[in-house]
Amino acid sequence: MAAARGRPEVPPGVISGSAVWGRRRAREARTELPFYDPSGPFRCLDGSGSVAFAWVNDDYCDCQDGSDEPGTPACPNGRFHCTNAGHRPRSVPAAHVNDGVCDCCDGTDEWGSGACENTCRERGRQEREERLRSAARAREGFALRQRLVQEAAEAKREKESRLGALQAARRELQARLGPLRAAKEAAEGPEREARERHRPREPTQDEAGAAEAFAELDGDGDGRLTLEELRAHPELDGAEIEAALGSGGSVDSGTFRERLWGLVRERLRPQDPPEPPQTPPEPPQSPPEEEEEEEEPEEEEEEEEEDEEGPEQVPPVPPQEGEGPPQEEPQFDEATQALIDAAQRARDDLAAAERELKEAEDGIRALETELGMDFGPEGEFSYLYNQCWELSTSEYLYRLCPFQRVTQRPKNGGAETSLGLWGSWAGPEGDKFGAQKYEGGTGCWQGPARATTVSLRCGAGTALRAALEPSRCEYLLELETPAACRELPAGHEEHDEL
Amino acid sequence: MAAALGRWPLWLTLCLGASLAVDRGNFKSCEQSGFCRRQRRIQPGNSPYQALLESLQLGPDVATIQLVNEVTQVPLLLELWGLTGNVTRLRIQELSPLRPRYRVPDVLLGDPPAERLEVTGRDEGTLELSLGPGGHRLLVTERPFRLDLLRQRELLCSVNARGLLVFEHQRRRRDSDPPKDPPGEEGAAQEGPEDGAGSTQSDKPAEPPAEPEEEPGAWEETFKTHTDSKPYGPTSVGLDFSLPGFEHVYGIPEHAESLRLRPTEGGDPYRLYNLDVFQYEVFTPMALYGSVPLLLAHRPRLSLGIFWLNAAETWVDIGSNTAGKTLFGKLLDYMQGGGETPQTEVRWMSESGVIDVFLLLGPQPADVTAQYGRLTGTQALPPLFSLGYHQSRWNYQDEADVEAVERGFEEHELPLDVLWLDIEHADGKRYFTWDPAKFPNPRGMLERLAARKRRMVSIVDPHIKVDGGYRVHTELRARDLYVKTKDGNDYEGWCWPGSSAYPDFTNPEMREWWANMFAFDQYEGSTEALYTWNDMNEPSVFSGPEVTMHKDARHFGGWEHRELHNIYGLYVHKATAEGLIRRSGGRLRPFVLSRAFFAGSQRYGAVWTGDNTADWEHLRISIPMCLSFGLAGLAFCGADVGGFFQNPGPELQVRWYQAGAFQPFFRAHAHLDTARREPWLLSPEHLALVRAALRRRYALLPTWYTAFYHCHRQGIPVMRPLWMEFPDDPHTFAMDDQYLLDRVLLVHPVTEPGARGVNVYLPGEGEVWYNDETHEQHRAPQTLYVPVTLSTIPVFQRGGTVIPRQDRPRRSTEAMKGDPFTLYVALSPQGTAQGDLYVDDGISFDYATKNAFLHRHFHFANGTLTSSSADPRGSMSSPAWLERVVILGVGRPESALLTTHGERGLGGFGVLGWVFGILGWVLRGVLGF
Repeated sequence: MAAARGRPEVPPGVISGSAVWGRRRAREARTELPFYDPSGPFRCLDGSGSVAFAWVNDDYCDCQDGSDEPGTPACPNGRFHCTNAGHRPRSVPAAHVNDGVCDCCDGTDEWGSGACENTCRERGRQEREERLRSAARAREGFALRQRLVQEAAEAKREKESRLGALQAARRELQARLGPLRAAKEAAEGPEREARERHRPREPTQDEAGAAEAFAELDGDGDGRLTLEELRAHPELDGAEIEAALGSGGSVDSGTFRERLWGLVRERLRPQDPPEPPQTPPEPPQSPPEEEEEEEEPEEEEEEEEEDEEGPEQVPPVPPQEGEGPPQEEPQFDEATQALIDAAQRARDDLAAAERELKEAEDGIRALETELGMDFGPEGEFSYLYNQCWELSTSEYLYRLCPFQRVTQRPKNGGAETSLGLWGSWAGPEGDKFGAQKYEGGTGCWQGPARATTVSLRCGAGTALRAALEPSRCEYLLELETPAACRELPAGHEEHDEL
Repeated sequence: MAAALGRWPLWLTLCLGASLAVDRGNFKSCEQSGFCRRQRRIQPGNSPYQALLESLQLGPDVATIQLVNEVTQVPLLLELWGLTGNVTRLRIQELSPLRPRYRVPDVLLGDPPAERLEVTGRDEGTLELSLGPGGHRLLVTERPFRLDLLRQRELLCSVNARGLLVFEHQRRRRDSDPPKDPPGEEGAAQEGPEDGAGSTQSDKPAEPPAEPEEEPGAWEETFKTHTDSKPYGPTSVGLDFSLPGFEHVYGIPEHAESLRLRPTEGGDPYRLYNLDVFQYEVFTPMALYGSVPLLLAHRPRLSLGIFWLNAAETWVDIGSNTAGKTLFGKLLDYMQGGGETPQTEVRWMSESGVIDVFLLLGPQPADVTAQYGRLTGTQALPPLFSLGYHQSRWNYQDEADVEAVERGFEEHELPLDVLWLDIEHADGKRYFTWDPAKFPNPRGMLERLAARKRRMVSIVDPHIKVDGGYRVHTELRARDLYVKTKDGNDYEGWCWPGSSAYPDFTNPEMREWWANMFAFDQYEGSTEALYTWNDMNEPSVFSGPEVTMHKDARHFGGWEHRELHNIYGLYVHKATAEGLIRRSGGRLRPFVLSRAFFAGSQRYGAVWTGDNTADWEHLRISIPMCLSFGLAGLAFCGADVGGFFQNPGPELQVRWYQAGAFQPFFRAHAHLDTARREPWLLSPEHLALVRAALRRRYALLPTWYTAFYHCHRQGIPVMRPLWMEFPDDPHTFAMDDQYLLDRVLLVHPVTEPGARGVNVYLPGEGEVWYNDETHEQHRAPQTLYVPVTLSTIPVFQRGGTVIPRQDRPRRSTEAMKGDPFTLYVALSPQGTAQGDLYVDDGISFDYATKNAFLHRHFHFANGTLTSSSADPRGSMSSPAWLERVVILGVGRPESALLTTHGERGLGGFGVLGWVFGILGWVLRGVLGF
């Protein structure tokens, strides 16, 4: 407890031995401080008044600043000074004097009963040892931190150059796309004509699909599709389809394929082709506990991903329009086949270029995000990126992926709960990088969304040390990391002597 | 802790929709409660009852008269007592009941001593009885039956004047099978059969001729998904009381209501039925956690009380002939000399039991509370530490959390006496156990707290987890001590631990067993520093009708739950308090907080207003609620500081601390789902205000303790409505935003957001009041506008009083032991003042068993402060002394002399003289008492 500012710390009482009240006996003590001079009246240190010296430490408060009672609990605003030889001097509220609780390790605050032993030497020794230990930890941690800073700088340079390369690749790919599209268009024209000449034969996959859909929609099986039958499928509702049905109000299967199938296909079987998988994040630099699968950054889908254990399912690249599986391809004459092959090559080339572009863009985005992150004044926290750490308590498994998210999973089963997504550095003033804030986790009953503060503490290794929920839906994790270590001034252990 | 049904998935869905509003559909309206509907349908008119005056029998104590219902011909027995100390008791029950009715045991301290009644007059149709030396007379009118109570020529109260006496006599079920096991033989649990009417059962076998038409629901009643089997059919009772000249009635807690009760016409009556109401709202007559069927009425020069001793579900209708009239209208009536005399009508309706009423005849307000205190006991003298500050939260999570919170109080120099642990501390909500992971070493934790002069309270609820591996459950099952269903199986319901059974606390053997569980070797990990909190003792049954127990559940003696519902919580409280006394070998006072209560609960400890909400309305309502509690004997009342549900803003939190510091039970508490709110989480500015409020509380502890002693001895509330001290000033009759602490301090907490000032009414013709902080003097009566900042708590000391304080800001009450006292002598305009100080060891029963206490009386007049013993029986040696006397109302005194009347063990006064200090001119350095 810090002493109140602006008032001098006064060692315990001065007494001439005369001011004794009934059972009260203020402590007999001596002080070298000049203002407790028994030869004259005592002037309150704030100058507010002056009292007979016999009234100093007589267990009655006379001075507004409490300075006449440095050794008794009489003044509400007084402080009592413990010398605590062997340990650290301390100032305690005067109200702690003679209250039956040992506050000073030298026991002087309980001078009335003398019930407190002097434990300063023992405590001083313990504290010195602890200080040595923690200094050793801090030094080790700081050395590691310096290495992290170096590695971060190298990794950053490497990433920047990778970014540059990707950006160049993107420019080059963007430039190539136009010609490739033109080449595809050019090749597909002749191909289509050549294919036309070979129709009709076995229905293509698309035609088969149309026939299948017709049979499905033709509720009464009379070979004609009516408006009523179409309306039985709400997903097909729409003026566009009704218009295509024409004035006749019904169509046969051929007309259906020509006029309606194009409209119906998407609505009947919406096959939004999933995005091709994103470039997997940087492989971690030997993450210690990394064992689970990589996770998509979209937090909202967490629940649905619940049962998707195991490797990520890569959805197949959807077939391009008009492209059929090769084994069902009918036999063509050589010339036609050559045209088809040429068109296919053009398509493949375009698709490959588009894929490459997408990859390059994903890579750029990921690198830009990472390079845009604030990893500390010297980038020392960057090694935490793309890694996760876990901590198991009696009830939960906590998982921290720094700069990304915090989650909690009950050990006795049950769904994972988001405790927040990366928000910002949130240390106190002057120590911004002492804590991180994760926000917007799963909402609480009658309360806000869950949020987590991660406090960072110097250590030689990287590990989650504590997970608490001090308040409902507000979590506190403690992460030990060398990146949080600071340089100790030389001889730190010996300084600030006890 | 909590009604928080929302924590259970089953109820979660129900609660999500209605945010922060009580779900009224979960609780019955009068219309949905069969007997209330039946009784309320009966309108005032000629009573069918006739008093058979010739049947009068005058015993040494009691007079009996038969009443007959002229329609059904069912005879009733009216018993009348004139009790010493201006109390009249009347009891009505069936002359020949089919089965004994429940007469509430364990509430009255004993058989109240009676005066001899005499017949002083008689004419055709009227009988006059005199009720002892108080000059009270009772007129019994034959037809229709009514009673009129007079003091000299003044009519105080009439009974059945509106003809609303209802006694649904017991009857046989018409259709078929009569109920199987009437508890007749084993049933008369309490007062023995000699005055019970059960023995006359065979005398009158004749069926009454004309049974009234039975409406549906008479023999079975369904509310929501719950069916009440009602094997004994309709048994309700009701009676009306007319109070001429009265416009103000109070009491019948617990309701979230203004101090003055409102007329209930057009709405529901006030309901008394102990219920766990989730997120209750203010200003409704709905039932809450506790019930005291005591109503007070007040007018200039007269206060009365009506104590309706019945533990079944009860509704109270209040009628007023001036309700709805404007002030101008009333004035007009007065000026024209016409108009009716104002009159209040009170109608009580209970589902079963007998009519047993005590009319407390005052005449002063303090006489009524004293009369009630003599009947049901006064507030137990709390251990001193329990008047300090309590820090609670659902939940302090583990030993490290407890340690950290306590360290917070140390570091921020905030006084603290007790830290609380809610349900999560126990191992799977198995009370009397500790979660082994979170609280592996409870004894060590308690010892660390005790070393810093602090204590702990852990929760022990009366629902017991049904778990074969839980000793409490296996023993209670083996001993057959659980409440039973109507079919005789152990009654089980859903509560915090899941499936739970309910110990039958109405059984003395159960209470005995429970009390023994608090022995240090039974409640493992407990020490003398651990005290107890009984929550959920309405009882709360999440799966039951209205979140409580089925009315057809069976208790000891065969009684149905319906008969005794409202007293269940009292028995839990009683057994727990007994356990804490017993564990100390009878030496130390218990501290037990209970949520449910009944008449008499004040003997067992503290109560609070349950699960309130962090909003300004709930802060405001805490004052009238605690005032009502106090009028009904429950002086040790508080509200969760900060509000249980939701998060208070900093302003509300500070204002709540300031208000709570001046309410008897001072505990901050919060719901599991709220943000942490220990005071140091506020800004430094707000924290400083909380610290100041806490220190003001602690400095005034000698005054609080002395006030509790007055209450303990005399039954007078600690927190008093103004009209108790200014009974002839009608301005004060409806005031409930300010109150008195004892008779000495007037408190008007700021309960409005952004307040710039408050209007404080200072009562008392020709009196003066002193601002407690500035010592500024104000004349009374007046309404004083007091400008306020966020640091202001408007408190005024009454001129003519002396209050003791201990001004050293210690860390806890125990750390203040031995600290000197300062007397604040606030002079009346006549230059006089008096007051007193009560001191004992603060923790043991030695004050009662060994007279180990000091009760000093201080009197200031003619420049002389005299200290004398207020009770020569008491003696004790105390290290404390009187360090300072501050006299308000004079400049520098000419002279002052302190004298003390020599008594054993006390030194004389020594005066050093006047000094000018922080507090102005004070007498410095005074020895002894």
